[in-house]
Amino acid sequence: MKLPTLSTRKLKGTTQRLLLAVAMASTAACSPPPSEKVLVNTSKLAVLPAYERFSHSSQALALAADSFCSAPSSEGLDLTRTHWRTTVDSWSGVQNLQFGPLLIDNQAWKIQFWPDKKNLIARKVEALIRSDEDLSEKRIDDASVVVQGLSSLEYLLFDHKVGSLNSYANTDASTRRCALLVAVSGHLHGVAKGLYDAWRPESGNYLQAFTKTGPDNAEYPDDNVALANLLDTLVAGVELIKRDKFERPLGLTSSDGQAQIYLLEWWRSQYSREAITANLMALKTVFTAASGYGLDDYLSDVKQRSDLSAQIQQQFDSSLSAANAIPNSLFSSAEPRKQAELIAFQNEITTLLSLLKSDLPTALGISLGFNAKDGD
Amino acid sequence: MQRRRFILASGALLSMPWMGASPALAKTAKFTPVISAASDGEGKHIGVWRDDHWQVFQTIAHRGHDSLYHRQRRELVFFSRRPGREMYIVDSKHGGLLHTISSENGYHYYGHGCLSADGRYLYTTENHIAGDGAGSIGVYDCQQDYQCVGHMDCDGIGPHELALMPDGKTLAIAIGGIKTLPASGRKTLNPDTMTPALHYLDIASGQVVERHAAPHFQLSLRHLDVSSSGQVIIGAQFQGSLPSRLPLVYSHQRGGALTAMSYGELPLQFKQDYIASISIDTQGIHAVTSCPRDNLVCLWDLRSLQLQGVYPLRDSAGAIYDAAYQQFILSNGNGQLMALKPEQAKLIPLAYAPGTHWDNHLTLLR
Repeated sequence: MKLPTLSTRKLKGTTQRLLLAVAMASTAACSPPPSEKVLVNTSKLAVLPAYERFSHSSQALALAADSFCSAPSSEGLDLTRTHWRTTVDSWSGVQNLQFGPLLIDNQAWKIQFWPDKKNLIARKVEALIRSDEDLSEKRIDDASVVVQGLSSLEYLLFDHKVGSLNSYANTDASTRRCALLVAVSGHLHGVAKGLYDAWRPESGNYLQAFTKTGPDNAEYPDDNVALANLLDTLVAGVELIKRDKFERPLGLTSSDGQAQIYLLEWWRSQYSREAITANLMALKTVFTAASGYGLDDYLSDVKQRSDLSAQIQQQFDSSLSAANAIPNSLFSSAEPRKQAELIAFQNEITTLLSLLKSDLPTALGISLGFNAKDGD
Repeated sequence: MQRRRFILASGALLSMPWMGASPALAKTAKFTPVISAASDGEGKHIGVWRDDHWQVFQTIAHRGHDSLYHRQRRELVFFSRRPGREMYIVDSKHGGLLHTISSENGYHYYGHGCLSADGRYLYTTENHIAGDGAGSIGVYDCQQDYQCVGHMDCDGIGPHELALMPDGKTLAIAIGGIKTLPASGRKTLNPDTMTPALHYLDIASGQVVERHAAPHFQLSLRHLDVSSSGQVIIGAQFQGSLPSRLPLVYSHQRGGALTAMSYGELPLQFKQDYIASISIDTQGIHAVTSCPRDNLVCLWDLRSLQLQGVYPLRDSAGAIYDAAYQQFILSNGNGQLMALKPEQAKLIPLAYAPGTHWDNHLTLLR
């Protein structure tokens, strides 16, 4: 091919344009693509802080249990219960994250055994207290998950028969009950800290695995595969709230009818509604990457769907308002099917699920699961 | 206050560095080429994927499901997903479409098939629409351009996956129990009267010679694999209100009872109760099941009948044992092919086809 001859002047202009183009290209190279921005912002501003809070609150819980057991008092028990609630709040921020270290080796089960259809928690905890086994954190780690985590602690702190000050101060088993409370809360903190460390850049750095996708990345060959996990988190999280934490135990679905109140999450502490609220706030934070560049911005900027972005955020808010408007604990609702606040929340969460399950995947161009949706 | 701390056994695994552990795909990706149906933005396809590309590639009208490789004839057989009526025979060497077989009038395919011991006949699971949805096993003569030469009654509605037993004389058939008719699409017509089961059919007599009902009438038994010693592993999809909390994977030996595989010490709870592919290794030591709706893959120990491990994999689909590399190959709806090695805690990436959704089943070109 014969090259066209250029005048000096023309050449100068071309060079300038070239330089400008190179400069622009390098600026573009420095600024990550929107999909990567979503992954980085969501990880740093929503996911990592959630694991950090869980680790810190479980530490505070372990300290409170320690201090309570060194001199049992009703104030000490109240304080331990308060820290348990805070830890449930922070766990609710982590519970639905459908990717990463939480899924390795069933970590979630070490934190929460639910639903407990056969009342295993009470049986196994009491059996362990009655035994002459050493009640160390190591022993708890080797034990069945039924005696581990927040569910076991809920039984120890809130059960109407044994979760009272009397059990810790005035009975033959008081010392062992306290030792178990301390060991289980210490073990829980170990699990929570392990998860946080697995994500932290200074330690396991799953943060990088999740945000630096590409052919060398074992799990995420491109951004879309990672983004799909955020979508799964939102859908599975809201599905879990609607089906397992609300409709099923309260008997609100027409197919089941019968309420199964002991399937409620955290029924012993009557903290079911609060955990749902904490879930919803955390899921909204995942959607918006807190104040950062999240799926909400990606929807608006890249997919030109600011309408849907706003609609989903509003629906999170109205679901939260409806949950907060429920005046009683879910466990104490006499006739769930006739309680207006419960039906109102059911309507809001149903709309939210439909937006996340139908509209959002289409708008993002990410399949919710090709085989999952319509396999054979 | 200083709290005593120790390294939790699982904590050690968690804090391993997540990056840098696996070298670039191209350097490590070793696997026997896989046969699969797939979909992408362009349409629906069938073919053979080797290393990082389609070695054989055909576009088809409807969604495919399972496939098989006819080694003596060097032909690939692809089955349409229900209620498809096409079966595609592809030249494995040149990739050309040799025949498109249509199911007999009044029948459609369920998506699975297997060969007779001598490779002469092909057996497929079919819906006898004209017989009010009765289950049927189609018999095709591979030497006569895969002409249909007859049907056998499998005595159960909704036969799905089937396999030839090591005796070479018997077919193990997963009876899904779900009645559908094309007029009403994929709608289940008998939700309250399903009778899912595992049936053994004697090919010579065409008679069902052994049958085992599923432990629950809504526990649809859909997929199975058979080990070289005749152990059948069968997986279920629950059709009732989820989650069922019933065991979803069962083991069976001729003459014995259907035995639930145990979750053992590993707590595992399926939320969606949906087992897709099942594959047993050549030694009969391990089986793998994919659970697309729960985004995971389970590894089972066939000697203890216990769950050995769980691996997260979004929208997991096909599973097949690749003896040449002593690994299970897994596919998913994200276009990933991954290796599962039972001694390793993490899946190893083999290949990635961006924008491709692998369908539910994989077979090997070997």
